[in-house]
Amino acid sequence: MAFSNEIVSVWKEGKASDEGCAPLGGKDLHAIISSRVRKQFKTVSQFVWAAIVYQIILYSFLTHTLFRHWGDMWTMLLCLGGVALYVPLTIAFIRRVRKLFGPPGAPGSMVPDLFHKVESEHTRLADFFRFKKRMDWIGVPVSCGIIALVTFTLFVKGGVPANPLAALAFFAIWVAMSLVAIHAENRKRFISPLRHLQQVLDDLKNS
Amino acid sequence: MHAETETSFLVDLNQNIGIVHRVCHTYFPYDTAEREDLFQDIMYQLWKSYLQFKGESKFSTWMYKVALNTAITHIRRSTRAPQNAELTESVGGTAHTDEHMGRLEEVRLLHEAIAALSHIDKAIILLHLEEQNYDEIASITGLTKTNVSVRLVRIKRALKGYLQKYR
Repeated sequence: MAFSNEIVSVWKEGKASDEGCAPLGGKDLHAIISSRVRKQFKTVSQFVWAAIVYQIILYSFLTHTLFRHWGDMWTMLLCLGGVALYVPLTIAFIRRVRKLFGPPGAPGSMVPDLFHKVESEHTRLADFFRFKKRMDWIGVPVSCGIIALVTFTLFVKGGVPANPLAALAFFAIWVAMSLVAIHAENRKRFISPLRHLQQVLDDLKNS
Repeated sequence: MHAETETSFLVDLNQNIGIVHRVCHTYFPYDTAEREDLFQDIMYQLWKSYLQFKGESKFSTWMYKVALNTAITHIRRSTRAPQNAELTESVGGTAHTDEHMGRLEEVRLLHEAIAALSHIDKAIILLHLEEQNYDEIASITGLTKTNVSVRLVRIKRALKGYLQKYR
Protein backbone atom coordinates (compact mmCIF):
# COMPACT_ATOMS: atom_id res chain seq x y z
CA MET A 1 0.00 0.00 0.00
CA ALA A 2 2.85 2.34 0.97
CA PHE A 3 4.60 1.63 -2.31
CA SER A 4 1.35 2.17 -4.20
CA ASN A 5 0.91 5.60 -2.63
CA GLU A 6 4.53 6.39 -3.31
CA ILE A 7 4.32 5.72 -7.04
CA VAL A 8 1.03 7.59 -7.31
CA SER A 9 2.66 10.59 -5.66
CA VAL A 10 5.72 10.37 -7.95
CA TRP A 11 3.39 10.06 -10.95
CA LYS A 12 1.43 13.14 -9.87
CA GLU A 13 4.67 15.04 -9.54
CA GLY A 14 5.57 14.16 -13.11
CA LYS A 15 2.06 15.02 -14.24
CA ALA A 16 2.28 18.45 -12.63
CA SER A 17 5.45 19.24 -14.56
CA ASP A 18 3.77 18.57 -17.91
CA GLU A 19 0.38 20.10 -17.10
CA GLY A 20 1.06 23.05 -19.41
CA CYS A 21 -0.13 21.23 -22.56
CA ALA A 22 -1.30 23.81 -25.07
CA PRO A 23 -5.02 23.56 -25.88
CA LEU A 24 -5.93 22.51 -29.39
CA GLY A 25 -7.73 25.04 -31.60
CA GLY A 26 -10.02 24.42 -34.58
CA LYS A 27 -7.23 25.18 -37.04
CA ASP A 28 -4.81 22.76 -35.35
CA LEU A 29 -7.48 20.07 -35.37
CA HIS A 30 -8.21 20.57 -39.08
CA ALA A 31 -4.49 20.43 -39.87
CA ILE A 32 -4.16 17.14 -37.96
CA ILE A 33 -7.25 15.63 -39.65
CA SER A 34 -6.05 16.61 -43.14
CA SER A 35 -2.59 15.23 -42.48
CA ARG A 36 -4.00 11.94 -41.13
CA VAL A 37 -6.38 11.54 -44.07
CA ARG A 38 -3.44 12.08 -46.45
CA LYS A 39 -1.33 9.62 -44.48
CA GLN A 40 -4.06 6.98 -44.51
CA PHE A 41 -4.53 7.42 -48.25
CA LYS A 42 -0.77 7.06 -48.75
CA THR A 43 -0.69 3.90 -46.60
CA VAL A 44 -3.55 2.33 -48.55
CA SER A 45 -1.96 3.33 -51.88
CA GLN A 46 1.40 1.86 -50.89
CA PHE A 47 -0.25 -1.30 -49.69
CA VAL A 48 -2.38 -1.72 -52.80
CA TRP A 49 0.54 -0.80 -55.05
CA ALA A 50 2.85 -3.33 -53.43
CA ALA A 51 0.32 -6.12 -53.58
CA ILE A 52 -1.04 -5.34 -57.02
CA VAL A 53 2.28 -4.69 -58.77
CA TYR A 54 2.36 -8.15 -60.36
CA GLN A 55 -1.13 -7.66 -61.69
CA ILE A 56 -0.19 -4.27 -63.15
CA ILE A 57 2.85 -5.80 -64.88
CA LEU A 58 0.70 -8.60 -66.19
CA TYR A 59 -2.14 -6.37 -67.46
CA SER A 60 0.33 -3.95 -69.12
CA PHE A 61 2.20 -6.78 -70.73
CA LEU A 62 -0.95 -8.53 -71.97
CA THR A 63 -2.65 -5.41 -73.35
CA HIS A 64 0.55 -4.21 -75.03
CA THR A 65 1.05 -7.61 -76.67
CA LEU A 66 -2.62 -7.84 -77.65
CA PHE A 67 -2.58 -4.53 -79.58
CA ARG A 68 0.88 -5.09 -81.01
CA HIS A 69 -0.07 -8.50 -82.42
CA TRP A 70 -3.67 -7.72 -83.31
CA GLY A 71 -4.82 -10.33 -85.85
CA ASP A 72 -2.56 -13.14 -84.61
CA MET A 73 -5.33 -15.38 -83.28
CA TRP A 74 -3.21 -17.60 -80.99
CA THR A 75 -1.47 -14.62 -79.32
CA MET A 76 -4.77 -12.74 -78.98
CA LEU A 77 -6.40 -15.76 -77.35
CA LEU A 78 -3.49 -16.15 -74.93
CA CYS A 79 -3.65 -12.48 -73.91
CA LEU A 80 -7.45 -12.40 -73.57
CA GLY A 81 -7.39 -15.70 -71.66
CA GLY A 82 -4.82 -14.25 -69.26
CA VAL A 83 -6.87 -11.09 -68.68
CA ALA A 84 -10.08 -13.12 -68.20
CA LEU A 85 -8.32 -15.31 -65.66
CA TYR A 86 -6.96 -12.40 -63.69
CA VAL A 87 -9.91 -9.96 -63.61
CA PRO A 88 -11.88 -11.96 -60.97
CA LEU A 89 -8.75 -12.11 -58.81
CA THR A 90 -8.27 -8.33 -59.05
CA ILE A 91 -11.94 -7.68 -58.19
CA ALA A 92 -11.78 -10.04 -55.19
CA PHE A 93 -8.55 -8.37 -54.08
CA ILE A 94 -10.02 -4.85 -54.25
CA ARG A 95 -13.08 -5.98 -52.25
CA ARG A 96 -10.86 -7.44 -49.55
CA VAL A 97 -8.69 -4.31 -49.41
CA ARG A 98 -11.81 -2.17 -48.92
CA LYS A 99 -12.92 -4.47 -46.11
CA LEU A 100 -9.47 -4.34 -44.50
CA PHE A 101 -9.16 -0.56 -44.54
CA GLY A 102 -12.85 0.26 -44.11
CA PRO A 103 -14.43 1.19 -40.76
CA PRO A 104 -14.19 -1.85 -38.44
CA GLY A 105 -17.61 -1.71 -36.81
CA ALA A 106 -21.15 -0.94 -37.90
CA PRO A 107 -21.91 2.82 -38.12
CA GLY A 108 -22.83 4.18 -34.71
CA SER A 109 -21.41 1.16 -32.86
CA MET A 110 -19.62 1.73 -29.55
CA VAL A 111 -15.85 1.99 -29.24
CA PRO A 112 -14.64 -1.54 -28.34
CA ASP A 113 -12.48 -2.28 -25.32
CA LEU A 114 -8.79 -3.05 -25.79
CA PHE A 115 -9.28 -6.82 -25.92
CA HIS A 116 -12.01 -6.68 -28.57
CA LYS A 117 -10.17 -4.03 -30.55
CA VAL A 118 -6.97 -6.10 -30.74
CA GLU A 119 -8.97 -9.26 -31.45
CA SER A 120 -10.88 -7.64 -34.33
CA GLU A 121 -7.68 -6.10 -35.79
CA HIS A 122 -6.03 -9.52 -35.63
CA THR A 123 -9.02 -11.24 -37.24
CA ARG A 124 -9.22 -8.67 -40.05
CA LEU A 125 -5.52 -8.81 -40.83
CA ALA A 126 -5.29 -12.62 -40.53
CA ASP A 127 -8.37 -13.00 -42.73
CA PHE A 128 -6.85 -10.77 -45.42
CA PHE A 129 -3.48 -12.51 -45.15
CA ARG A 130 -5.13 -15.93 -45.64
CA PHE A 131 -6.90 -14.59 -48.74
CA LYS A 132 -3.67 -13.03 -50.07
CA LYS A 133 -1.73 -16.26 -49.60
CA ARG A 134 -4.39 -18.21 -51.50
CA MET A 135 -4.37 -15.55 -54.22
CA ASP A 136 -0.58 -15.67 -54.45
CA TRP A 137 -0.57 -19.46 -54.73
CA ILE A 138 -2.89 -19.24 -57.72
CA GLY A 139 -1.87 -15.88 -59.15
CA VAL A 140 1.93 -16.13 -59.14
CA PRO A 141 2.28 -19.40 -61.12
CA VAL A 142 -0.53 -18.37 -63.50
CA SER A 143 0.93 -14.92 -64.21
CA CYS A 144 4.47 -16.27 -64.56
CA GLY A 145 3.18 -19.03 -66.83
CA ILE A 146 1.36 -16.55 -69.09
CA ILE A 147 4.41 -14.26 -69.25
CA ALA A 148 6.69 -17.21 -70.13
CA LEU A 149 4.27 -18.57 -72.72
CA VAL A 150 3.66 -15.23 -74.46
CA THR A 151 7.36 -14.26 -74.38
CA PHE A 152 8.46 -17.55 -75.94
CA THR A 153 5.64 -17.53 -78.51
CA LEU A 154 6.56 -14.03 -79.68
CA PHE A 155 10.28 -13.69 -79.25
CA VAL A 156 11.83 -17.19 -79.32
CA LYS A 157 11.96 -19.14 -82.53
CA GLY A 158 9.87 -22.32 -82.26
CA GLY A 159 8.20 -21.14 -79.06
CA VAL A 160 7.82 -23.35 -75.97
CA PRO A 161 7.59 -26.71 -77.87
CA ALA A 162 11.05 -26.17 -79.41
CA ASN A 163 12.66 -24.86 -76.15
CA PRO A 164 10.95 -26.60 -73.21
CA LEU A 165 13.92 -26.44 -70.83
CA ALA A 166 14.65 -22.77 -71.50
CA ALA A 167 10.94 -21.95 -71.06
CA LEU A 168 10.86 -23.89 -67.79
CA ALA A 169 13.97 -22.08 -66.52
CA PHE A 170 12.47 -18.70 -67.52
CA PHE A 171 9.25 -19.62 -65.70
CA ALA A 172 11.15 -20.79 -62.60
CA ILE A 173 13.21 -17.57 -62.45
CA TRP A 174 10.03 -15.45 -62.64
CA VAL A 175 8.37 -17.53 -59.92
CA ALA A 176 11.47 -17.34 -57.68
CA MET A 177 11.77 -13.56 -58.10
CA SER A 178 8.08 -13.11 -57.33
CA LEU A 179 8.27 -15.36 -54.27
CA VAL A 180 11.25 -13.45 -52.84
CA ALA A 181 9.42 -10.12 -53.28
CA ILE A 182 6.16 -11.52 -51.87
CA HIS A 183 7.88 -13.04 -48.86
CA ALA A 184 9.60 -9.74 -47.95
CA GLU A 185 6.32 -7.89 -48.36
CA ASN A 186 4.38 -10.42 -46.29
CA ARG A 187 6.89 -10.28 -43.47
CA LYS A 188 6.69 -6.48 -43.28
CA ARG A 189 2.94 -6.06 -43.68
CA PHE A 190 1.46 -9.24 -42.21
CA ILE A 191 3.77 -11.63 -40.35
CA SER A 192 5.35 -9.07 -37.99
CA PRO A 193 2.13 -7.11 -37.28
CA LEU A 194 0.20 -10.35 -36.73
CA ARG A 195 2.88 -11.58 -34.35
CA HIS A 196 2.65 -8.32 -32.39
CA LEU A 197 -1.16 -8.51 -32.19
CA GLN A 198 -0.99 -12.18 -31.16
CA GLN A 199 1.46 -11.32 -28.36
CA VAL A 200 -0.89 -8.62 -27.08
CA LEU A 201 -3.85 -11.00 -27.30
CA ASP A 202 -1.95 -13.76 -25.48
CA ASP A 203 -0.96 -11.25 -22.84
CA LEU A 204 -4.61 -10.27 -22.38
CA LYS A 205 -5.80 -13.90 -22.32
CA ASN A 206 -3.15 -15.02 -19.83
CA SER A 207 -4.34 -12.65 -17.13
CA MET B 1 -18.77 17.01 -38.21
CA HIS B 2 -21.05 20.05 -37.70
CA ALA B 3 -19.54 23.26 -36.37
CA GLU B 4 -21.52 22.96 -33.12
CA THR B 5 -20.42 19.36 -32.51
CA GLU B 6 -16.86 20.31 -33.34
CA THR B 7 -16.92 23.12 -30.78
CA SER B 8 -18.22 20.80 -28.07
CA PHE B 9 -15.62 18.20 -29.12
CA LEU B 10 -12.83 20.76 -28.74
CA VAL B 11 -14.12 21.83 -25.32
CA ASP B 12 -14.27 18.21 -24.05
CA LEU B 13 -10.94 17.41 -25.68
CA ASN B 14 -9.06 20.37 -24.25
CA GLN B 15 -10.35 19.64 -20.74
CA ASN B 16 -8.77 16.19 -20.99
CA ILE B 17 -5.91 16.69 -23.44
CA GLY B 18 -3.37 15.66 -20.79
CA ILE B 19 -4.70 12.08 -21.17
CA VAL B 20 -3.50 11.92 -24.76
CA HIS B 21 -0.08 13.33 -23.86
CA ARG B 22 0.34 10.83 -21.04
CA VAL B 23 -0.68 7.86 -23.21
CA CYS B 24 1.80 8.98 -25.89
CA HIS B 25 4.54 9.47 -23.32
CA THR B 26 3.87 6.05 -21.78
CA TYR B 27 4.24 4.24 -25.09
CA PHE B 28 7.01 6.38 -26.63
CA PRO B 29 8.94 7.93 -23.75
CA TYR B 30 12.13 8.58 -25.74
CA ASP B 31 11.06 8.99 -29.36
CA THR B 32 9.65 12.47 -29.98
CA ALA B 33 8.77 11.84 -33.64
CA GLU B 34 6.84 8.64 -32.86
CA ARG B 35 5.15 10.37 -29.93
CA GLU B 36 3.98 13.22 -32.16
CA ASP B 37 2.79 10.72 -34.78
CA LEU B 38 0.82 8.78 -32.16
CA PHE B 39 -0.61 12.04 -30.78
CA GLN B 40 -1.97 12.93 -34.22
CA ASP B 41 -3.29 9.40 -34.73
CA ILE B 42 -5.17 9.53 -31.42
CA MET B 43 -6.60 12.97 -32.26
CA TYR B 44 -7.84 11.64 -35.59
CA GLN B 45 -9.43 8.56 -33.98
CA LEU B 46 -11.07 10.70 -31.27
CA TRP B 47 -12.45 13.06 -33.90
CA LYS B 48 -13.75 10.12 -35.98
CA SER B 49 -15.35 8.35 -32.99
CA TYR B 50 -16.78 11.42 -31.23
CA LEU B 51 -20.25 10.95 -32.72
CA GLN B 52 -20.32 7.47 -31.15
CA PHE B 53 -19.83 8.95 -27.70
CA LYS B 54 -23.25 8.85 -26.11
CA GLY B 55 -22.26 9.88 -22.60
CA GLU B 56 -22.78 6.36 -21.18
CA SER B 57 -19.37 6.58 -19.55
CA LYS B 58 -17.28 9.55 -18.44
CA PHE B 59 -15.68 11.43 -21.34
CA SER B 60 -12.24 10.72 -19.85
CA THR B 61 -12.95 6.94 -19.72
CA TRP B 62 -14.05 6.99 -23.37
CA MET B 63 -10.95 9.00 -24.24
CA TYR B 64 -8.65 6.49 -22.52
CA LYS B 65 -10.34 3.68 -24.45
CA VAL B 66 -9.82 5.34 -27.84
CA ALA B 67 -6.30 6.52 -26.98
CA LEU B 68 -5.10 3.14 -25.72
CA ASN B 69 -6.72 1.23 -28.61
CA THR B 70 -4.92 3.56 -31.00
CA ALA B 71 -1.59 3.34 -29.14
CA ILE B 72 -1.53 -0.48 -29.11
CA THR B 73 -2.41 -0.77 -32.80
CA HIS B 74 -0.09 2.13 -33.69
CA ILE B 75 2.90 0.22 -32.27
CA ARG B 76 2.39 -2.64 -34.72
CA ARG B 77 2.60 -0.19 -37.63
CA SER B 78 5.65 1.54 -36.25
CA THR B 79 8.83 0.56 -38.08
CA ARG B 80 11.20 2.00 -35.48
CA ALA B 81 13.23 0.02 -32.98
CA PRO B 82 11.32 -1.20 -29.94
CA GLN B 83 11.29 1.08 -26.93
CA ASN B 84 12.89 -1.46 -24.62
CA ALA B 85 16.11 -1.35 -26.65
CA GLU B 86 16.32 2.40 -26.12
CA LEU B 87 15.51 1.92 -22.46
CA THR B 88 18.50 -0.36 -21.94
CA GLU B 89 20.80 2.26 -23.44
CA SER B 90 19.27 4.97 -21.35
CA VAL B 91 19.57 2.99 -18.13
CA GLY B 92 23.10 1.95 -18.94
CA GLY B 93 24.20 5.52 -19.51
CA THR B 94 22.74 6.83 -16.25
CA ALA B 95 24.84 7.51 -13.19
CA HIS B 96 22.95 6.16 -10.18
CA THR B 97 24.04 8.29 -7.24
CA ASP B 98 21.49 7.67 -4.50
CA GLU B 99 22.15 10.82 -2.51
CA HIS B 100 21.75 13.26 -5.40
CA MET B 101 18.72 11.69 -6.94
CA GLY B 102 16.05 14.35 -6.76
CA ARG B 103 12.32 14.16 -7.26
CA LEU B 104 12.66 14.59 -11.02
CA GLU B 105 15.01 11.67 -11.13
CA GLU B 106 12.36 9.62 -9.34
CA VAL B 107 9.82 10.58 -11.99
CA ARG B 108 12.25 9.68 -14.75
CA LEU B 109 12.99 6.35 -13.11
CA LEU B 110 9.28 5.57 -12.76
CA HIS B 111 8.79 6.28 -16.47
CA GLU B 112 11.71 4.00 -17.28
CA ALA B 113 10.27 1.24 -15.12
CA ILE B 114 6.89 1.59 -16.85
CA ALA B 115 8.59 1.55 -20.27
CA ALA B 116 10.00 -1.89 -19.46
CA LEU B 117 6.49 -3.36 -18.96
CA SER B 118 4.43 -5.15 -21.63
CA HIS B 119 1.97 -3.07 -23.69
CA ILE B 120 -1.05 -4.22 -21.68
CA ASP B 121 0.67 -3.77 -18.32
CA LYS B 122 1.60 -0.23 -19.38
CA ALA B 123 -2.07 0.47 -20.07
CA ILE B 124 -3.19 -0.97 -16.73
CA ILE B 125 -0.64 0.90 -14.61
CA LEU B 126 -1.28 4.13 -16.51
CA LEU B 127 -5.00 3.86 -15.78
CA HIS B 128 -4.30 3.00 -12.15
CA LEU B 129 -1.94 5.95 -11.71
CA GLU B 130 -4.52 8.18 -13.36
CA GLU B 131 -6.90 7.09 -10.58
CA GLN B 132 -9.32 5.13 -12.71
CA ASN B 133 -11.14 2.59 -10.56
CA TYR B 134 -11.12 -1.18 -11.20
CA ASP B 135 -14.49 -1.06 -12.98
CA GLU B 136 -13.23 1.61 -15.37
CA ILE B 137 -9.93 -0.19 -15.98
CA ALA B 138 -11.85 -3.41 -16.68
CA SER B 139 -14.22 -1.67 -19.10
CA ILE B 140 -11.34 -0.01 -20.97
CA THR B 141 -9.13 -3.10 -21.26
CA GLY B 142 -11.81 -5.80 -21.57
CA LEU B 143 -10.34 -7.71 -18.60
CA THR B 144 -12.34 -8.77 -15.56
CA LYS B 145 -12.04 -6.82 -12.31
CA THR B 146 -10.31 -9.78 -10.68
CA ASN B 147 -7.77 -9.97 -13.49
CA VAL B 148 -7.10 -6.26 -13.22
CA SER B 149 -6.46 -6.54 -9.50
CA VAL B 150 -4.19 -9.61 -9.88
CA ARG B 151 -2.21 -7.94 -12.65
CA LEU B 152 -1.85 -4.72 -10.71
CA VAL B 153 -0.25 -6.61 -7.83
CA ARG B 154 2.18 -8.21 -10.31
CA ILE B 155 2.93 -4.88 -12.03
CA LYS B 156 3.56 -3.06 -8.75
CA ARG B 157 5.93 -5.85 -7.71
CA ALA B 158 7.81 -5.48 -11.00
CA LEU B 159 7.99 -1.69 -10.64
CA LYS B 160 9.17 -1.98 -7.05
CA GLY B 161 11.89 -4.42 -8.10
CA TYR B 162 13.02 -2.11 -10.88
CA LEU B 163 13.06 1.00 -8.72
CA GLN B 164 14.94 -0.73 -5.93
CA LYS B 165 17.51 -1.96 -8.40
CA TYR B 166 18.27 1.44 -9.92
CA ARG B 167 17.76 3.78 -6.96
